[in-house]
Amino acid sequence: MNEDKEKISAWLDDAIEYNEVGSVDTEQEKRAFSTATRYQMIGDAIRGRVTEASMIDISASVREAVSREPEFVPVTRPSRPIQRETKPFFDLGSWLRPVGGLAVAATVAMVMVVTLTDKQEGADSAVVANVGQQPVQALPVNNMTPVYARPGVAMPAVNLNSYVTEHSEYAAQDTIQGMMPYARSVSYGSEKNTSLKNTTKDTQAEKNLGR
Amino acid sequence: MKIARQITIGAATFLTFAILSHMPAYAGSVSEIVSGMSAADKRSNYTGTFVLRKSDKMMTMHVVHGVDDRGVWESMESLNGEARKIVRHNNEVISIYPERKLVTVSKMGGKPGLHPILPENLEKLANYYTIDQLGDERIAGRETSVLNVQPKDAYRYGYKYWLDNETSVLLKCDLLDENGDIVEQMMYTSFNNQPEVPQSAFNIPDLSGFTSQSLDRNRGKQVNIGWRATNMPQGFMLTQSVIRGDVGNESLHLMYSDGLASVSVFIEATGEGSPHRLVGASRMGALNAFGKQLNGAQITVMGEVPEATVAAIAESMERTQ
Repeated sequence: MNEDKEKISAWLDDAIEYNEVGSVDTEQEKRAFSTATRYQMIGDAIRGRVTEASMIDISASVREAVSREPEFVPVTRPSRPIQRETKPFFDLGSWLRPVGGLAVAATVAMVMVVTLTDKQEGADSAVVANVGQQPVQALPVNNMTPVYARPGVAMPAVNLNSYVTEHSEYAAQDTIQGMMPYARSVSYGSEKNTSLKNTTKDTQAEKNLGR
Repeated sequence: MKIARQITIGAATFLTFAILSHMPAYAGSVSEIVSGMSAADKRSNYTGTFVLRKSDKMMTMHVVHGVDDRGVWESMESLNGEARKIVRHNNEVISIYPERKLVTVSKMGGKPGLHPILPENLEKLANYYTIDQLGDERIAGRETSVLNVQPKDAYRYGYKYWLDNETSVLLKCDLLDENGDIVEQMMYTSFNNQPEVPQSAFNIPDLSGFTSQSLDRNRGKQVNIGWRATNMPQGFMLTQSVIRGDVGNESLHLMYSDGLASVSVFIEATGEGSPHRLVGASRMGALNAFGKQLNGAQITVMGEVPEATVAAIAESMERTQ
């Protein structure tokens, strides 16, 4: 049974091909595998790994699959402040719902996040202390000097859409300000071209680079 | 390992309460308010509308925030400008742009959100910021506690927080530059704390015909960072390092944070036909960016910090191998 789980999990992680999963032995694992297949399909659809035409087909399949999906009932269920309503098409909740002990999160393409903490088992509570061990020489407090003077030369706008989006979303994890970074992300994203105007007054930066 | 993690989290929780309960009354009250602001995300159910002002731009957004046994759910929908909806479930974020027929999906790393609420980190914040409680004010018809957070050096911005007295939710936030001028302001105009919120707010609409982008499509077995910042403003620590982009076109994303401010460093190889890269300083509202090229690599640093901070970090980046 554990071997089945490992095979399914490895397939979800793209470590092995579908046909390498082979047979799964128990009814429970068969059900889990079937459900995981549907979730994989949903994930692929969302991430654009399918064509537009097939996505429409998949949408219909997903709608059907989701409607057949049994409600996940955790062993212990604390308060449920969110009102459950009629299951909609493409319900994110269903999409992300845990499946029989399998980490559904594995169906989502995982970003490779490597913190030093990841290398130290059981050290989750010491994230800051651990990652802070990268050797850096701190700048002295109250010793601020402007690096470059303010410019006058207009530089071409640089499209930094992806950088700004990624910065905003990652920043949300490292601050106590709750939804503020997400709100920033929305606001940056609302500007169809997140273009930053270069404000460097002179070409000091280029001079420094020997250009 | 799971048991060890639970023990670790349990110990951290115990330490949090133990240390907070032995703090001086004044420090404890401020610490508890700051801790409450962080914890509010994980225990509150509310709907509301807020405005966000940056430079000369203002936008209004409707928010639904809920918590259930599966974690935190949040929906933010822009009410002016380009239509956009963000649905967040814990650290998974789906952004939908109906006009552009675009949907982006991102899943952030599984790093536990312990950074801000560990007491030692609150104490570290006090090394770089002066935190004062200014009293109560009314925002969106609710009583709030006001915190003034002033940086002790010129490498970070100041903050002013208005926190709901009942829920600790941030109802207003000013971001202040080195001159004390407001460079970004968020304020709720309506806020309804509710026992339950409708799950329909978190539904994803039909995305047929949409182009989708995954912001985290990369994976790997090992990261060798290969770069480091040699002169980092005090208090900023490396919190994440991420490989992004497609195979053969990867870039490195380093994230530094002092607990309030975050700075991103993006490093990628430059080559023939590369699009125009940022060289020098750039700004958009509270966001400053600084770019430079070094040893065939483009280094772009950005964050809601003063220009001098991103410039200093960019200039200090060096290869370690």
